[in-house]
Amino acid sequence: MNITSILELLTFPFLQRAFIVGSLIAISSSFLGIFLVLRKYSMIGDGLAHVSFATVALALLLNSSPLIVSIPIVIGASFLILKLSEENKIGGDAAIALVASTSVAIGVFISSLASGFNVDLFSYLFGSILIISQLDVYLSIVLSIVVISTVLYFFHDMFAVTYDIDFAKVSGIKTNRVNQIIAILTSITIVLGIRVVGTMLISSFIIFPTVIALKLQTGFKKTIAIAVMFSLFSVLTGIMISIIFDFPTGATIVLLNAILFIVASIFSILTKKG
Amino acid sequence: MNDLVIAKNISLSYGKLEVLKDVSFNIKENDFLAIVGPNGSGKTTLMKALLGLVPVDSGIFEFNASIDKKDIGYLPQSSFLQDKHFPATVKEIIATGLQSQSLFKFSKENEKEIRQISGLLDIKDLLSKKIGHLSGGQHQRVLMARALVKKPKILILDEPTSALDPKIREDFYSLIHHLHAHENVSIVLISHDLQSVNQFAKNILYLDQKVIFFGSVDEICTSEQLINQIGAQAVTSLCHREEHEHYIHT
Repeated sequence: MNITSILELLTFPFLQRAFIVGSLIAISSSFLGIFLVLRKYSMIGDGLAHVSFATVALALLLNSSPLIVSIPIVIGASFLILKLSEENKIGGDAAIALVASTSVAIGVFISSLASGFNVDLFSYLFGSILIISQLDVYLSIVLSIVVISTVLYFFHDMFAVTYDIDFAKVSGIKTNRVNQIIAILTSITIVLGIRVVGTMLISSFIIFPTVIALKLQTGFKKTIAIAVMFSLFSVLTGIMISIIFDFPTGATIVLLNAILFIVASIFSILTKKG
Repeated sequence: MNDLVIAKNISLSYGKLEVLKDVSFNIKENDFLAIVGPNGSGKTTLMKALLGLVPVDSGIFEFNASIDKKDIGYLPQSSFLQDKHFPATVKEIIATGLQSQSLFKFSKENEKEIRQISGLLDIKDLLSKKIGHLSGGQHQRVLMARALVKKPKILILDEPTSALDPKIREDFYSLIHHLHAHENVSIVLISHDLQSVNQFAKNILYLDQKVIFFGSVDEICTSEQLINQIGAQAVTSLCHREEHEHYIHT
């Protein structure tokens, strides 16, 4: 494939929509990732991704928009995970496992009830840029603005809670509210991302860019900025490679992230920072 | 002298494990209260309850009308927070003690407050350093700066010197003494080592799940309850405060 054919590809509306939505998810997930990774909440993203599998199945059964059906249910599930974790009766990881496995079971149950949409459901499992509609683009723009502006507005509180939750509480920060904000924003980002990379791989979207940026050992805000750049690079390059070589998009993006992680780890070892 | 905080009959348990039994004490204005007792006696839990970090089963903390939650500075046990890989600078950590919403830059007022407190604690040169790259003593000073930057009326210090070497420990005690004597900050110092804190404290709360002794340092020598708890010899050794006066450099 030569340059002219690649440029010609870029004129296709489906690819333009994929680039827009992919970039928005890359930015949103990088803004959130640092708070989740440093608070050891990475698995919440994974658990909620499993929940979104059930919600997509439900939306397809009801013939509704998966994005609209998924957001409130996934937010509810994130609150349930937080509640179960806080009550300390079961550990946070056990709470995530319970909610995630129950949700997948519900999803499988729903898909067995109705036949005819299993192909669609499969595309949500591993992502497909072909299913991104114009409505999805508009919703993604609005929701990404919500995620990024909320993080910017509550940055001081979120940072304080991430470093030392006890001190943040003593300082008068409403830590429960901060946790809920993080849960809501994570839910929105995950639901947005399942279009491109699918429910199975979306959590890596949140975790990988931040972990790669953390390897470079810089300040908090710079880590976010670097994570945004890595994320944008892997999403845009991943989409292009997947189109050119006819690879699955979600898997290509995640594997690109994995390669970047290995390179950053080697760099970190060589510069004796890691 | 006014009471800033009055703790009345505090009881607290973790499940079936009773940690605090009917504990009462008060923190006075310009107080220097040392909370001492063996490991696992409930000292940290008592302070966490006062700070609202853990709920009590019964009892109440009454705060003077002049005291807001934001007037209490808290220095937790340092070792819990020494994550070598946390991506933040010293300045960013100190700023968490300020009520700021700013993301991109600190206000002039905040900059001034951070510079002032870091000057007092001799950490101005560390402001742009990564928090994970500091020594134990430097890290402790940064957390102290974070607690002091909001100019608290009460400063709660939880085992502040446990990770410090003797020289830094001496400087640290001097600093606390300075804050108490010259900045009128009421100090609550938690320690398992009564001997090393009694030369600074005005009042002592000896805790072992319940209050064994609460009163002035002068009264400690004659406390029968404390003699019964830790032995007459141990109590007598605590009464020779003058032996440790070299710690105080005002």
